[in-house]
Amino acid sequence: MPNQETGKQRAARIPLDYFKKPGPLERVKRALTGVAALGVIGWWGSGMLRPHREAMRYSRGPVAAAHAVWDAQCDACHVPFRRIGAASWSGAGRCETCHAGPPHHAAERPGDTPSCAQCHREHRGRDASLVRIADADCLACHDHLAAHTQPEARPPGAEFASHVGRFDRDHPDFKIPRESPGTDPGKLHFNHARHMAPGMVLTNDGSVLTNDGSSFTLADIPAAERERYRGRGASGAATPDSAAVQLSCAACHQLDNAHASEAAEHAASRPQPARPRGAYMLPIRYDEHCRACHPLTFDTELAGRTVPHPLAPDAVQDFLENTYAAQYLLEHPESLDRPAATRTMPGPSSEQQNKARDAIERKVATAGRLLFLGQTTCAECHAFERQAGAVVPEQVLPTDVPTVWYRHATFDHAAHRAVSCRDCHGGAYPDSPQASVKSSDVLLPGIAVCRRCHAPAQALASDRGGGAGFACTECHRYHNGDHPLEGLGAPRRGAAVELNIEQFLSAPAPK
Amino acid sequence: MLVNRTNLPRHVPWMVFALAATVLAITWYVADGLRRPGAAGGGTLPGLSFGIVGGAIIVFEFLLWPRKMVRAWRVGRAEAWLRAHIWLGLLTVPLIVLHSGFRWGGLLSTMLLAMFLIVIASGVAGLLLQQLLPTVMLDELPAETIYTQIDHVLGEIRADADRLVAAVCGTASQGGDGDSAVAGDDRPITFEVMRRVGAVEGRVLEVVLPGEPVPGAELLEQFYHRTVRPFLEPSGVRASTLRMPKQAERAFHELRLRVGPAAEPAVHALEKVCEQRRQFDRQARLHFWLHSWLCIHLPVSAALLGLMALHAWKALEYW
Repeated sequence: MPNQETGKQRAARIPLDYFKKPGPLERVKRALTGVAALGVIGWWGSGMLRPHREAMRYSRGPVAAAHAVWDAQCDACHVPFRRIGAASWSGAGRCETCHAGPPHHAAERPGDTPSCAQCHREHRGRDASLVRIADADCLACHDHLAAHTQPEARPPGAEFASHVGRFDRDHPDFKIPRESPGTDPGKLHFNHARHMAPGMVLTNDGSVLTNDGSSFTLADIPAAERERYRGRGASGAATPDSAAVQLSCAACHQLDNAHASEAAEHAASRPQPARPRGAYMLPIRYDEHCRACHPLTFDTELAGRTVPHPLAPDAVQDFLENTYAAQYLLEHPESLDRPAATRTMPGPSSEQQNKARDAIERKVATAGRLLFLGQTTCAECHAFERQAGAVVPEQVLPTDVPTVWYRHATFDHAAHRAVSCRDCHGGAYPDSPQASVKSSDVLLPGIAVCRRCHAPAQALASDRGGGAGFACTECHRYHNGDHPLEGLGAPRRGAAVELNIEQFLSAPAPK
Repeated sequence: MLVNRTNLPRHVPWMVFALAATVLAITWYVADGLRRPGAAGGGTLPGLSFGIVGGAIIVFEFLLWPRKMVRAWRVGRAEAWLRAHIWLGLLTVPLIVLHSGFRWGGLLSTMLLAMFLIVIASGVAGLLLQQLLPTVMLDELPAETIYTQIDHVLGEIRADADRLVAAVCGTASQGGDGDSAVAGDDRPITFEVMRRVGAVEGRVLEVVLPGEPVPGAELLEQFYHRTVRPFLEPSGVRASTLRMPKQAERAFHELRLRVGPAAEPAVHALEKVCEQRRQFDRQARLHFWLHSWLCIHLPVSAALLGLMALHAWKALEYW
């Protein structure tokens, strides 16, 4: 038989070093791996060609709009190879280049002061808020405040809730005002219920409101100021002068962006500076809000003559003496018919002088009693400091009506403009069960009123309520921005250094 | 790597380790997260730790490639490397996701996370394919040969077939191969054919002795050159009717009826050659699916490694 191919010969058909030669799939794999490696190097290298945009490639995400100028400039905020940590706020970081700020609280433990970036989280997109801080940031300390404060550093008399949780569940009720919760510290006599009643017919005799039959009408208001208080009837027509005066809240309480200066704005030919946004009510001013109904008339024979406001008691006395002396001279012109003395003449006064002095003093005393002891002018609203038996007080006590009631929280009336005043300040209305007839009443709402909206949305339609924000930052500002002297624009919030535009754009670290 | 009942005990320690590490990582992350709002990212202590550990694992994972390339390395058994590759690779998923703080982040971190997920997905797909396809190949491809040598083996088979047909038909081969048989070559022709005995099927060698031309040889030769020979070419599968077993069976049955019983051994041998050719084709396709995922897994891993180094540098520079 001819030679047959052996098994060994057949096995040798496949070369023994076959594995050294890669197959097509292996070649593709290696080629793709090479391409991937080159791609990475190319991607890195292409960034070097555009150094001004290179940083964007490595950024964790776009910074907020307020910092967009430095989006591609990591060094503007970061110190290379140093974390933005707790030390950043003490000068090691670069936030202070533009953002100075007071400490959160004098009693905070130094080690508990969070870093800037701990609360203000960047790289979350252009529209992300840097001031919408999560509750957990605040509750990290306020959940158990005692462990995070230095008792010896607390201001005298300061009280803090040791545990604060979510606003709708674990937030203590408001202490308004802080010094005397539930009692108005103001020294101005005022009866809200009476002023809000039509014709102001209610008497101020404690908690019982009765009608004494004497209605205050538009005719009782000077014509020049009458239109401000004229209302509209059911048909829309203006009420007649015989109609009772019906005040509204806005008759006295005006937002800080209100129309007090609108007339001036319209009249002025040059642009006016921006007005406040209407968050708070302006203080009540006598000339604007009281004078029309409460003229400081001191003598029925001197119709139209009123005491200027505000004046200290001594100044009122001077005003009265000057007024009555001038009146006396007008009525007795012969008093002027004598030679003018160049110096004080010795000896007793003349009978004519004594008579004049007596007449003026009598009238001044009468007017003084009316103003300072009566219940229709100064004393109707003000409290005085006086010696026993004296008519003229030593001083008018400051009214001390708080301009801002929530001193450690913000509130925006403009944001709540669609809500009736009554829903939050019901005590101001005479028909309210809690109608306020005492000056010491605090007419601000408690936390329960706020929670009707500022709480999680209710699941059941029948239990409508909630849905508005209830985070800590709705009302509070960590860097005391709600404090009148430490908000934005206050010197304590200023930049550490002033920069020119080039320096500003390059954002150097503070010296 | 096959993960089945047989070798499961060797995987269990790795599984337990990966699971325990995942639980520990999540516990640490949650405990730390309770003290801060939102999801903590790579800047926190746990986040940074997860990033460092995850990055180290990724570097180790990538070392499997040089480990397999340089077989002379005796740094542990390749099987052990592969087990570690699988389970540590899966462990990186929770570590890297926690490191990311569940955010895509900026351009680079988004690219990294996307690449990481692609690598993991392709790796898992590869692992699943490796559980399935080798079994299929074992069952269905008794004629399996070394994948890279399919074309070479196919050439040998073509040459054998050429010699067979030339011997049976008494003519010179028209196949064109340099070592083709010619008339008068009386050497025995050896064939690898498939044979089943009971439940066992495998390749056996059959020997055909050249003899006198058989009746109907012209038909056989014509069929061979028109149908079988093109099918045995490396690129001849797609257009051939022989690629479908049923059609091939019918074609050879018709051929048998036409050429007569004398040519039966040759027809039988050619039929078996065609069956082997079909198995090579199926092997090539299965091999592609068994290994093609690496064409995604490895290049993206390489890119991931490079960009990860860049990410680590930049993140530590500005953290």
